[in-house]
Amino acid sequence: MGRLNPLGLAVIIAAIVIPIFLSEYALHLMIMVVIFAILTLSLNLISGYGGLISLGHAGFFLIGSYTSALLSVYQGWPFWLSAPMAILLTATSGLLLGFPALRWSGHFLAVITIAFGSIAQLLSINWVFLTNGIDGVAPILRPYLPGIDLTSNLNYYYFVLICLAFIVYLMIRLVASGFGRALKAIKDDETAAACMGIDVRITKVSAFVISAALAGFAGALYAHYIRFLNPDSFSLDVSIRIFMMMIIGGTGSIAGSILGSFVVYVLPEVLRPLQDYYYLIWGVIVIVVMLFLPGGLISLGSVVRARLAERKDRADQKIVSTEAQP
Amino acid sequence: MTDSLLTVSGLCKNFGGLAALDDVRMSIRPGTIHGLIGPNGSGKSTFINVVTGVIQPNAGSVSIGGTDVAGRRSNVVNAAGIARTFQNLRLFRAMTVLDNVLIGEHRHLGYGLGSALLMRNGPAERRAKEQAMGLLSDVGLSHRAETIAGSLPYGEQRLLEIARALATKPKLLMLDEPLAGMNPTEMDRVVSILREIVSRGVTILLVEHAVRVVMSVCDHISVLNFGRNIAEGTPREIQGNEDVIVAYLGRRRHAA
Repeated sequence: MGRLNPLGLAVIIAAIVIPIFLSEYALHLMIMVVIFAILTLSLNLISGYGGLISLGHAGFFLIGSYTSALLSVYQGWPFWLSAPMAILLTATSGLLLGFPALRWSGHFLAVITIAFGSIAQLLSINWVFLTNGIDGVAPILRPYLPGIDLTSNLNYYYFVLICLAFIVYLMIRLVASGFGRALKAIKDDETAAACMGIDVRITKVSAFVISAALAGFAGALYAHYIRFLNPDSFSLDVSIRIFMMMIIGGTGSIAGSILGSFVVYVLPEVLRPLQDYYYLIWGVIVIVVMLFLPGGLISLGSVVRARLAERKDRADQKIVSTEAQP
Repeated sequence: MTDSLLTVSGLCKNFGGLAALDDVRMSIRPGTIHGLIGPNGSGKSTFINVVTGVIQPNAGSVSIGGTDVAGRRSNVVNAAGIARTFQNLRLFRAMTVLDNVLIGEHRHLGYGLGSALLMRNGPAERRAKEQAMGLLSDVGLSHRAETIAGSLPYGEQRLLEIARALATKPKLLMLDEPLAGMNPTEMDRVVSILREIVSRGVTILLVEHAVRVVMSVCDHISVLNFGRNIAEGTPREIQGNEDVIVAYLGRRRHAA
């Protein structure tokens, strides 16, 4: 993490060049991958680095999406105002949820965040006056950028890609700062961290607020891409999906979050022709990754290298012992 | 009493029906090494845990340099000037040795999230790293800076706990059995480190089972048994104290 290896550079170049040649459908997948990568990074900040489990990120995603969409459709706000408002509102909801909820951790926090996600979705269904209920909100305009037509999906892809790059930069700065270090210390040993003078509550709540804000931003990017919102897109399923992206990519890894989003979003699409066997195969893949790569797919390289080194060591020892025999 | 750095009085902690601390008092003078001894289960670790806010007391007052910290959260107690180590080693095991010490410096970093995001925390981080390296070299661990803390040998983990606690710039350092599991050479090293720490103006509370070390380094000793103060005094006074001998060895069978 942090260092840019040749493989990382190749991925970045591929992410810039390949979409030019993609079909509309594949391009749609890529845009969704980038939006989900932002969501996964936001979850990774609190879960991967801070050890706080959230299964309610779809809730923040929803609040961000709806805020920006409603302001845009009914108040005529431009994206450049409605998106910051979405960020502000999700950050506030992160604060309101985080202050009471973060006395708990582990399973309790997971359940509380699930409840939060459900409440957010129920509100979007039943608060018809505000959200138009299950009929949804449309048409949400694409952001207006002078000189660049963001109604083109290729251009919008580059737009979200730049947003992702910016957020990756923020994450790298955060994780490498004293704040990130404190967060990791809290994950390791909360009591010891407190005894070293770290304000555990403030640090956790801050991380939660930042995480919520990022998810809200992803929501705004989503709303103005998909141009039609309805509550179906923000079920518990989405929260779990974000969680899986983080785990499968690599908990506590920035590159892992991006890889995980790609794999979890695209692989099911690739497997779709298998029809009935699709869920079976997908399930097996998830289990295998979890069993053999607890550090996620991003750790594949280092795990393989360690195995090879181990094997070589054993082979060397065998040679030494046979030499010592006579 | 006015010249004491830490003043504890009437400190009580019950676990269910058991009084782990029962009306404990203590007064530690600045610039000294104050020993806290007692048989197993006498409440020494509980005392440290309650004072540093890990466990909430049922009653009593704790004042450090005039600030009352009884029942406050651990980070507040630390900010008031008390740092500690843990008997059962609670390092940040997944982090490097250097990062462990940097966590100790956290409160003194002097920059916030904003400057971190704007890449303006470089100088502050560098300063913190220099100080951390200085502390590591004080305890003889500078060659381990980039090692993962959890993989250090036991004795070095104890030393790292001391460096990490010192990084918080405490007035009072509470050491919970810093010599446990060490060999005589390592013990000598820790003892000289303790003397060095005191010479720099940090007061020490030393909880330790190695009685010989306690007797030789401490200026003053408090003895606990069953959560109560049973004796108080200089090492010489403690050595001759009948109650202490009874607490450790039991009463002589045919004593009058």
